[in-house]
Order: sequence, then structure tokens, then C-alpha cells
Amino acid sequence: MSFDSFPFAVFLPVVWAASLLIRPNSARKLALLMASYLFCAAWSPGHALMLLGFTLASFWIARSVRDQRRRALLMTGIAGALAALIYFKQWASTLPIGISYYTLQAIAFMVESHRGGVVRSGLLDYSLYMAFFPRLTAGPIVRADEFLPQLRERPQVTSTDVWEALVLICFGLFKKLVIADNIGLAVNPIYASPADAGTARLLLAAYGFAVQIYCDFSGYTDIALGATRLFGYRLPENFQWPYLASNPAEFWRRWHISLSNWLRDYVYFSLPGLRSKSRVPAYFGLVATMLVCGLWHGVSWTFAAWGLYHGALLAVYRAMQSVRIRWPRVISILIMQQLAVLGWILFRAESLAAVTAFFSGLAGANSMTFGEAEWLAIWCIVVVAAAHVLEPWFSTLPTVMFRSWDPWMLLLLLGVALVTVAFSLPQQQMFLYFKF
Amino acid sequence: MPTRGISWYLGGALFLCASAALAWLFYFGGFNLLVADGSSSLQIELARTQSRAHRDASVLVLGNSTAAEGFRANFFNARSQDAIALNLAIPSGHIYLFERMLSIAQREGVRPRVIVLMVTPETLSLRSDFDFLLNDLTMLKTELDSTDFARLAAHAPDPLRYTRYAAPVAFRPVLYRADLRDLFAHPHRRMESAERVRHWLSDFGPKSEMLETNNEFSVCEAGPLEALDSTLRRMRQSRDPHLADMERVHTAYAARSHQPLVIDPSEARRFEHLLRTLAAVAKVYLVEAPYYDPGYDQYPSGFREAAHRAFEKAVAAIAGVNLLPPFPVDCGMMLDTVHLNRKGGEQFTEYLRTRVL
Repeated sequence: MSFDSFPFAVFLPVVWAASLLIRPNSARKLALLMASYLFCAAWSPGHALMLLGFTLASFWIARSVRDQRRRALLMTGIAGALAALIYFKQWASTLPIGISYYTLQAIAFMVESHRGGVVRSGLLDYSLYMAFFPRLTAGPIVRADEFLPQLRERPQVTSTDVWEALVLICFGLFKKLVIADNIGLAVNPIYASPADAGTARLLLAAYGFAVQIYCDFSGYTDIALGATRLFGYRLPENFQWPYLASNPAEFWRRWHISLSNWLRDYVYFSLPGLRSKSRVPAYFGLVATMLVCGLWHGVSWTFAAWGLYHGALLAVYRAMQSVRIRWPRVISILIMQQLAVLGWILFRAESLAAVTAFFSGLAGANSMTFGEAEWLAIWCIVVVAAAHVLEPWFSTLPTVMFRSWDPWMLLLLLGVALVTVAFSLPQQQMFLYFKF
Repeated sequence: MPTRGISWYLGGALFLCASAALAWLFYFGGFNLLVADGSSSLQIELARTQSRAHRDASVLVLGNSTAAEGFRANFFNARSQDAIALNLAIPSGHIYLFERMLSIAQREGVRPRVIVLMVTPETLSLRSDFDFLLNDLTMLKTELDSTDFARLAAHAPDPLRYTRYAAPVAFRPVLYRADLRDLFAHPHRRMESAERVRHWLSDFGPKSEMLETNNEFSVCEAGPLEALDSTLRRMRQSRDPHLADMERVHTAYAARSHQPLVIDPSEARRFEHLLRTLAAVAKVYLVEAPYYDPGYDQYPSGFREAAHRAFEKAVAAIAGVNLLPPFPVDCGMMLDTVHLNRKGGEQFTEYLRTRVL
């Protein structure tokens, strides 16, 4: 049941209405939990069983290792979670929905429980934390202490919450169905056979995919955040205009924030040698952490290359921090954008040979004319680029424009919804990050 | 609470007007004014117009493109003294659309005594690359109303499937996706085309002839399948005027040859429901579309025979429905492997006329 499907358009309002009607907090949480498992089972009943198994096992382990006890059990739990994740990513025919995300949540919960820092909760709250359907399929990866305290009391859902949810869901669907899917239509054939594409098409594919993956994933996140807001809860932001980053470190503070924070806290800071006076362990740590990041997306050479590439960027940036180069921030932003686009070629290519063909084609002088799908993709890229250029202006807009239920904003949403319907593709395209 | 100024009320009024306009456009027939060439709803609008122009029709023909090409209503009407036939076959139409075409005709005042339903083996099959029911709903988008929620229950009995089809009926702009895209991308062209279509439809009256094609091409020229590709290459090089017709033969074959066509039980149940609905109104004649299959073998082995047995079984279970014997054809009567040309259509129409009247 994807966020952009009709069954979800019926499922969400029904569950929301039920959550408003159920008064006792425990009963409400139980209803949300059942709805979440129904959501998961709609993909496959086996996926729901997998989630249940993960939840029960990690809850029991977290309880058993609380406050620095039974470190060996903690290690076993982490190893088991990672082994299951690697097995499903590498060898299983289907990847259980959300496993890449709730595995990391479970590991973080067990580790924090061992450290003594996690909020204590019962099984119901923890189960809902693990299974909550708006964030089940592709995150954000939520910390227990960000979400569990919200479950203690029944939240009051205000009209402002509903309004913000409406805005987030509307714009999220626009980003996914109009921008990401239409760019994908033009870009996918080029990445399928880069050797056959001319220079212009390869450039379109490179920049197009950078915009596609941003709009696809941030669009999903907007819908997840909006759907969560309907129930009175809040999830952390996952994107902060990443293509306005001026250096690699800032990029990873703006892109897939929940994953980069998780990697920083549970991979990078766990590596040995970071406290030594030498900077070399830090550099290796950055490269190793980003390699893990790449492999988390998929066990393949291209994902590994992408991870290593970003690790190298971070290490080089860290090494160059003592070298002060003064140039306008906009130059730094433009440079970082090109570096990010280069990385996305590695990420998206179907093999290392395809990467080679891609770059060979870019270096060549062949060019071809664009078709209708490609022109639409170019327009989508221009729209997103313009939004980035205008971003500073957005923050200066008077807040009165974003008052809840303002009729001018309602008009804007109506227009966005109409454009979304008009330019969405007839065939449903899966969210990119559902595959990871 | 901040006081609301004129701007707020102006915005509110505009929002309400925009919402009302969109509701009229998508739910109350407003989009009929914007039906243009290439719109999937044009055939439905044409059928509705022809129904209104021929309310005295007593023979109603339903089906997909095989019936649209194969039944020659003008030929039928010229040879019938006391019966007028109305061909409401719609290309790519399927079971749900056949049922709705009857209700559209009845709403325009048509009271058929005989209904001829022309079917192909695919009527009873699902296809992996094409959703027949969604396609029907998309074509019928300007005609859908609240009764469709109840009708769909018979066509999509399990909750998930029902949601899948009822949701676009509820969120109807989704069905207008292609038209909206065309309107936004080419507004001037769209408006001009819509105006031409409106004028064209308004010209239809009781004296108007039914709209029909007059293609004389014969699939005899296609030859055996093995030679079709080389035939097409030769025709492209020589810019043969019949190239488009020959490519259509190739396309029709290619569309079917790799489909996992099997008799689907749910489709068979939907088909029986359709027959009962039609039989409640008039005498029904079921006829399998003629075909020409010179070793093209475009269906999986035994599929056509299985479909025939399923049709026989469905007809036997319902009173007032008759299955007509197959109509024999030769290649000279066929436009491609499944559609009759003008000559074949006239012969087939005469065959039907002598049996249903």
C-alpha cells in the first residue's frame, strides 16, 4: 500500500477518523498498532511477521541489557539484526518492507538501553514506535527518545496539525508524482543503456537523477511527516535543502538526516582511534562510515563506490579545513552540487561498466535532440532549481501567508493538487527508497 | 484572533468558486464541453449523441472494436423495414463498459428489443499489461455517477479490488489525467479542438447516418506470419499506401501473442452478470467476433476453444440469451486478423440481420 495509491487514500482517513474517536490513550495506541500491522501485511503477511519478530526480539534484548548489563547479549542482538538485514538484502528474493529502517531503530534502541540513556517503555509503545505506518516503509529513522515520550499522553490534534498535514501531503505528492516520476521517465532509459545516449542526454540523466532522488525521497518524507502530524505526533525532518550545502559535511547534515545521524552515532563514534591526536583514524573512520552507508543502500559495487566517494569527500574536506579558501558561498554551493551529482551517477548506474560508459559518453561530443519526456524532465529540473534559488526568499515571507486554513493557501493547494493529478504518470512508480 | 480583512474574504470567495468550478467540471458533466480529438471519452460522447439522435432504435449492438468495425448499422438500416440498429460498440471496451453503454442508451430514450453482444476470447481473460476495468472507467469518466459505486460491487467483489476501482470514481480528476495534461500542455489547441468536436456532435440528428469507417484493405495481402516482417520492410522502402494497414496487422498480432491469456473465473462471473443485466431488458444474441488466423496462432493453444465453451456455458445458464453460430470468413473479408473490412462487415451484418429479426 504505497502512499500514492488509492487504497492508502482510503486507509489514512479511516484510521485517522478512528484515532479521533477512540478516547483512551492505550486503546488508541493499540488501534494505531493494528492499523500499522495491517498496512505492513497489505504488502505481505510475511513482512508483518518479520516486523513482529524483530520487535519482540529487540524489546526483550533491550530489557535484558539495560544499564550496561550483558554486553555479549547486546552484541548478539546487533549481530543478529545485521545478519538478517544482510541476508534479505543480498540473498532473499524480496526485501521485507521497511526492514532497512526498523533494523537501525532496533539496534539504536538496544544500544541506548544498554547505555542507560533510553526512555523506558512498555511493549505496546515500543511496538508502535517500530511499526508506526507513516514511517514504516522508508523512515525517517526515529530515535526512541524522540518518539516514545510523545506516546505517554493522548495528543490533542489541532486544526493547525491538520492544516500542516494537508500542506505536507499535498506538496509531498507533487514532488513525487510530478517532479520525480516525470524525470524518471526520461532518465531511466538513459541509465539503462548509457552507451547509446549522447552527451546532452547523459547530462540530463546526471542532473535529472539528482533532482529525481531528492524529490522522490523528500516527497515521501513530507507525506510521512504529514500523515504523522494527523495523529498529533511529530517526526524529525529528514531533508534541509541539501543542494544548498556548501561542503560535504554540510551536505550530510542536510541529506537523509536521520540516517547520517544514526551512522555518526552508532558507526563513526564506535570506531577506534578517534580520540588520538592523529587525524588519520578520523579520515579512515569517515571513509568506513560512508562505505557502510553505501552498502546499507545495497550490496553492490556501485553503492560501495558511492559510499567510498562520499567518504573520500568528507575526509578531504576535513583535511582541508585548516586551509582557508575565501570565496563566495554561492561558489561553494555550486561546487558541492556538482560533486553531489557526480556521486549520484555512481549511485544510480546499474554496474561499474555502466559508470565507465556514462563518463565516456560525457567526455564525448555526441549530442541528440530531446523528446517530449525529456523536455518535461528539463522543466521539472528548472522548477526545483528555481525553488532552491528562491529558498532564502521563502524564509522572509510573512508568516501570515502560511496561516492555517488561509484561503489563498487553500487556492494554492487546490492548484497544486490539480497539477499533480494532470502530470502524474498513469502507471504507479514505486518510491525509490522503498527498495533500500 | 486576528480580524479578517477583505483579502481573506476575497481569497475565500475565489476558493469556493474554484472548488465549485472543479466540481462541475469533473462531477457534473462540465468536462463534456472540453472533450476533444484524442480524448478517451470522445467515443462515449459520440455514442450518447447517436443514441439521442436514434431513440427509435430497436436493435442495439454492443462490443469492442471488432463490433465497431464489423457491424454496419447503415447497411442494416437500409435493408430493414421495421427495425433500426444502433451500433454502440466502443474500441477497447470491456464488460463494464458494455453494461454502461446500455444504461447510457436507455437514458437517452432508446428502448431496444434486441441486443447483439459481440465478444472476443479476451472478454473472459485478464491481461498483464492492461487493466480493462480501469480503462472502461477512464472512457466512461464523463458518464460516471453515484450508481457506479453499486455497480462496481458486482465487478470487483473483494474489498481491495473494490477500493482500487471505486477510489478513482470518487476522486474523479484522476480519470481525467490525460485530458488535464493535454489541456495544461496545449491549452489553445485543446480549446480549438473541443469547439470543433462540439460543432461536429451538434450536427448529428435523426436523419444523420451512423458514423462508420470504410476501410477496404484485405489481410490477404499480409501473407504468412513468417513473411510479415519482410513484407513490412518492403512496404516502408517503397512507401506503400497500405503500410499503415499492414502495420496494424502486425500490431494486432504482437499485442496478443505473448499474453498469459487464460479464462479468469472472476471475469467469467462478471460476464454472466452482464448477460443477466442485458437479458433483463431485451432479447440478447451473443456472437463471437469472426477472425482470420492463418497460422498466426496469436492466442495460447486451446484458449479460443476454452473461451467458446465458457460462452456456451454462460448462455445456457441464462434465459433470453442465444449464442449464434460462428460466422465463416476468408481473408478477403478481414482488415486484419480480428477486424472485418467493409466487405466483410456488410456480409456479417446481413448474417446478423437475418438471425436477429
